[in-house]
Amino acid sequence: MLRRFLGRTASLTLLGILCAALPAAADSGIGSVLGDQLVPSANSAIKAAIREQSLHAADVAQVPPIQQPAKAPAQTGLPTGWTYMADFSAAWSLGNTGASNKLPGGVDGMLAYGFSPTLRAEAAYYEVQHYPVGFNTGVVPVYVQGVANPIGTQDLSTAGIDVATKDKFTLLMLEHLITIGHKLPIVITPTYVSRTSMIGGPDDKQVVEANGFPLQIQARTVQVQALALTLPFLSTPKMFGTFTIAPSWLVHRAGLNVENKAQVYSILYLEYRPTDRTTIFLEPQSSRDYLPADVYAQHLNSYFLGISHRLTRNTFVQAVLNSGGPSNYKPYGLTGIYCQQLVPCSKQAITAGGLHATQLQLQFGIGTPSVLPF
Amino acid sequence: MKLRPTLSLAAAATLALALSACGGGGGSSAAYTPSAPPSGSPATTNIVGLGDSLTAGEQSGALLGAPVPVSGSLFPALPPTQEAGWWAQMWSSANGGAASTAVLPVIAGAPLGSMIIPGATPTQLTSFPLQSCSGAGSQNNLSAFALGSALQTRANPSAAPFDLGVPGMLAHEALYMTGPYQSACTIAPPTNVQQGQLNLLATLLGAESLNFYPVLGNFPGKTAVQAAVSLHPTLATVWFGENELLKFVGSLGQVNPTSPQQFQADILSIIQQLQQAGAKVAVGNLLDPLKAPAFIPQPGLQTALISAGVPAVVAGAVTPAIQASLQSTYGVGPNGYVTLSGLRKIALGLPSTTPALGPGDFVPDALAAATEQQLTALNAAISADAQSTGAALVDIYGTFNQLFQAGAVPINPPKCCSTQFGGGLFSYDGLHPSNTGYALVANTWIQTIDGKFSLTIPPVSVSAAYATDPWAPH
Repeated sequence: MLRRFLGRTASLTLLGILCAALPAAADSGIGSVLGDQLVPSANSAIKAAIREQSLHAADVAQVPPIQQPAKAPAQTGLPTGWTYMADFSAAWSLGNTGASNKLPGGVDGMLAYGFSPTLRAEAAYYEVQHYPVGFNTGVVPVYVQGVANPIGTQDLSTAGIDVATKDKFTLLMLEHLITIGHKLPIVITPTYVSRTSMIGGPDDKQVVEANGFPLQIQARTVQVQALALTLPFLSTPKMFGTFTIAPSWLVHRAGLNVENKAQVYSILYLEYRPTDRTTIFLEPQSSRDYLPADVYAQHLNSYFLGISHRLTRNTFVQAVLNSGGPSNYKPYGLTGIYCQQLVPCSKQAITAGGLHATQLQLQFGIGTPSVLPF
Repeated sequence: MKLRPTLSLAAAATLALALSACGGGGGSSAAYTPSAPPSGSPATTNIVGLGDSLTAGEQSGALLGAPVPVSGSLFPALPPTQEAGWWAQMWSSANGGAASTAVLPVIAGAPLGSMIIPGATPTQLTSFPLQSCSGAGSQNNLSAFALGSALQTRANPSAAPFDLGVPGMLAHEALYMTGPYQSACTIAPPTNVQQGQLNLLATLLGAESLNFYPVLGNFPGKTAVQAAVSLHPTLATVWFGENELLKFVGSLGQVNPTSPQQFQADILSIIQQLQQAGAKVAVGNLLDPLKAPAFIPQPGLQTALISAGVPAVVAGAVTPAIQASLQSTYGVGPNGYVTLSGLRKIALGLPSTTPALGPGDFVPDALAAATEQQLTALNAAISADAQSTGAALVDIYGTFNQLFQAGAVPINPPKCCSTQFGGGLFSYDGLHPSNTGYALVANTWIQTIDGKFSLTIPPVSVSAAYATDPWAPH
């Protein structure tokens, strides 16, 4: 039971964190998505491996008596066979987004197949919506191409610019559990993430100013590949913790990117289980992440604080508070409007600093018991 | 501050050489015969020009590749400007007098812009077309703003031109601009203060829009520099910077499009990209635009009014009061300027001695000083780029400074030629040279290029250019 408990907790926490994190992750980047997906799944396998070690030691000391029925084999690592999960969520922004203080959330889904307790392939799809902080309450300068000084200011609440954003992520992962020296279980996860988005319309095509001239880019469409390594540092009956480090690269540069150096994503995960059905977790993160609108990688810091509770064998509910934003792209939100076509000022480019979100998300989901919380 | 004497000495030598071609050499005034650009060229043939209106061959406010009959003027036809430009004259000289129009984006006419020409009387100037965006002769201007129709303005729409000069273009724009700022010729009347500001800025900043696609329409999606590289030049000329200064002046200092540091980086990038494409590169520095006849020094206002047709007695009576008004209202003192448009407003406003002027009509003393500082900085940037890249530095500043200091050059004395308005070295817009002036510019380029790269491009014949120069007195 404990193994299943650990596995389900980690797996559901994984998805819960991932889904809950996305609104902020949309702000804090694809690195958070990578981490939120990788960490709980890896945690699941590590917990199971640690549990197996302790059970193995107990088996040696206490051989089952003859004729005693054997227990059903407990899960010893990654879930095997087919597993799935789906959920829908709603979110409430706690940041300053003015009148558009709504984050509708989205739907998510995951399908995985475990070849063995040490090898598992997983595909997932997630979507989330968000708004830049201060969008509807800010007053930003208006520039004309070729003119250094702004010609005036514009209240964004009346600017007629829609930057409501829905991000969509597709992830492909191959998880591999390795136990070093029969004592230290680690998980290595090659991962591919494809991100698309819609910004105020059917796609994320936006005009940005590059070197003083208009350039249309897909502002949030990127593909990333990563290689993650997850290590445990704490394991007690009530608590568990891991650290994950994941170097990542863009599959190719896009938009304003001028480089594609390896960006290291790191995440600390710590959970406390007050009951068999409930888990409280804290997850501070730090990552470097490229978006097409950025010349250089954003330096992203964020945290997630959540609680998961299993309702039935196949259902769960989870609430997560998260907050994050880049430390090297300030000020936050939309910071300027540029007229790229002088007469009329119809072709506009907007300039955004870092995007920051603080929000609470509530989600309800179903799934295979082995990948649900607990 | 040490740069100018150095440049002036060099300019004196350059000017002497330029003028030495006055009496000889074959003419290069080619007939209008558009044809395919040359191929399989030797080093001196495959020339590509990057620049602004000076490289494009603009004169009297317009760009035109073929003569266009016009009525109501002392001119039987609007004179073509492109083949009279320095770049076309140099190309012809480098190619044995071949038709320069073969490598120009030949504007079929009517001209792009409004050409300033003599009216019904010698002292009266008029524009053709009278309205750039409406009425007879405006069709080219209307068509020029869209990629789909801009090449209709060309006599050789399918030929990729080698003269890629775009009037109004900045160095930074040559590197990054792939489309015009404005989508149409007509500027709608402002409906609010902000739109009025935009319209004003458009008149100051949007000149590239009219000329962008007619010149670069054969290279859709490419910047001017990318287009130049795609032509695989063996010799490339680079001459940017005057618009950086003129937009600064025209906006009364509100628009300073390029810092000297950015300008130096931009010119460096342009040179390096061309060199990497295999071209020898020559880069020109900048003449002082405030010394051109478009800018009338405030102390010379009385003489200018008389030249504009104001009776001497009247001019003498009102000038002190007008100068006082210019000083108190606009900051135009002894070191400031009134432009040709400002002079026209002053003359038409008489007997009022408190003229109502706007941006582009005057240059306050402080702005004039700032412009001179900017000129010095930009020329230093060009010089540094030429030195660091091994490009030939063509001392246009020195050539014109020598001319401005002398005030005249004896091409056909006493009729021609001076640096004054109508004196024969500049066209009627007061900024772009006449055929004769462009010939002097061409010889400055040729002399430097020949010396730097051991080439033998013969100098153009200044006297031949003068002989058919519609802008010079005969």
